[in-house]
Amino acid sequence: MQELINPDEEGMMKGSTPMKWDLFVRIFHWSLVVMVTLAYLSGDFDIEALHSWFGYVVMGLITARFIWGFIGSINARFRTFIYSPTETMAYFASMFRNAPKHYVSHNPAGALMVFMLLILLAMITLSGLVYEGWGEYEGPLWQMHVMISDQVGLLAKGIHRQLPEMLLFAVAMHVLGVIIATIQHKENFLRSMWYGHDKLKI
Amino acid sequence: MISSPFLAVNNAGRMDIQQENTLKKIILLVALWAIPATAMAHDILGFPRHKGVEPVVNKKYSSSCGECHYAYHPGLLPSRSWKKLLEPKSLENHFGDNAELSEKDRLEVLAFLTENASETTWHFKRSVKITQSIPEDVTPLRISEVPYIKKKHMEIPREMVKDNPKVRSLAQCNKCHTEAVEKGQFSRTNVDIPNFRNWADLID
Repeated sequence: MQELINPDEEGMMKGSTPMKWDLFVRIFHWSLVVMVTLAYLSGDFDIEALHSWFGYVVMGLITARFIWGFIGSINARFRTFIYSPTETMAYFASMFRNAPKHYVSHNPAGALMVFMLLILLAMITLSGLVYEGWGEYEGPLWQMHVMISDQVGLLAKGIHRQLPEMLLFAVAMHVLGVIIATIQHKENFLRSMWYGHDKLKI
Repeated sequence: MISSPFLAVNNAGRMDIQQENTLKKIILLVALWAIPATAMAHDILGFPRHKGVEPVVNKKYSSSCGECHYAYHPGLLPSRSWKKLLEPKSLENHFGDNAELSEKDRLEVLAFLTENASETTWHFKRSVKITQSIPEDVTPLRISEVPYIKKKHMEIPREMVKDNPKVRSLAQCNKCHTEAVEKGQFSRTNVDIPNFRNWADLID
């Protein structure tokens, strides 16, 4: 595996670049940042009409990312960054020794955070969809006359109110993780997520 | 190793320039389509454009009914509910009180309420949801029996409403919805429960 995912040593195809993150991953990431911010704020300030649209976009984005996790470029595929517990623990150990092992795709700690964020977002958008159909008489579930019991509706409402606070915490940890990794790996992760690679010139 | 089924991304983890351009074009097209499409849906399909319920006022209604309770906005119930509530017989026993009106006043109030009932004010969000939530064969006589409103108040604990000396009943909308009477606004951002100013922190 390792030799396949190291772009610096791989023979390059004509016109290709030593990419860490493909265009899809980058557009996905920053769209998600913008849309989650908008969804959070519109929810907080009770701007309901916009909030559901932002929610649908977030849902679309994570669905697309899920699909891309199977068909995308190698660094973006889930199988590239699903690590065994042993490898994950070993990474954390090396991180605390301040000598972390380098990975071309997400490192095990970053991968944990990616899955955490994706699962949280999936749960938040799904609970929002259910609550919308049950309590707001709007959205696809309402349009399709899906029967939702009061119990399920209230549960969805509770989840939709609690998890965004957890998401906020996870986002803060994500940013902190990127800062630590940037220092430890001497790699410009922010630049990679914008340009696809962290080199000034290819 | 495994190549991508539709976007032929090579195994070294890159898309070539042609692929990037195609992806850019697709994204641009989707964006160009999505923005006017949502704007059009709101204008043509007649989505509600206003928050709350329509804050209409009628002097006779305010003076005769507003004497005992806040004059509930007509957009809070469908016209079939208002018709039933304002039958001379039901007014004689209006939730335990006699609320009889002269025939002239009764007809004026009835006309005002039915002409502005929830199903007629489709451009006000809350009225639309109230109408949609009531099954066609049901005629609620209390606003608190409307499924949409019932669901909205489900998790509020007893001590905030019934056992709260400053509220007493869910029927007293204006005790907590501070902008209800004048503006017909029922957003959670302008709810202030007496004795429970921090209600938003207390409910889950």
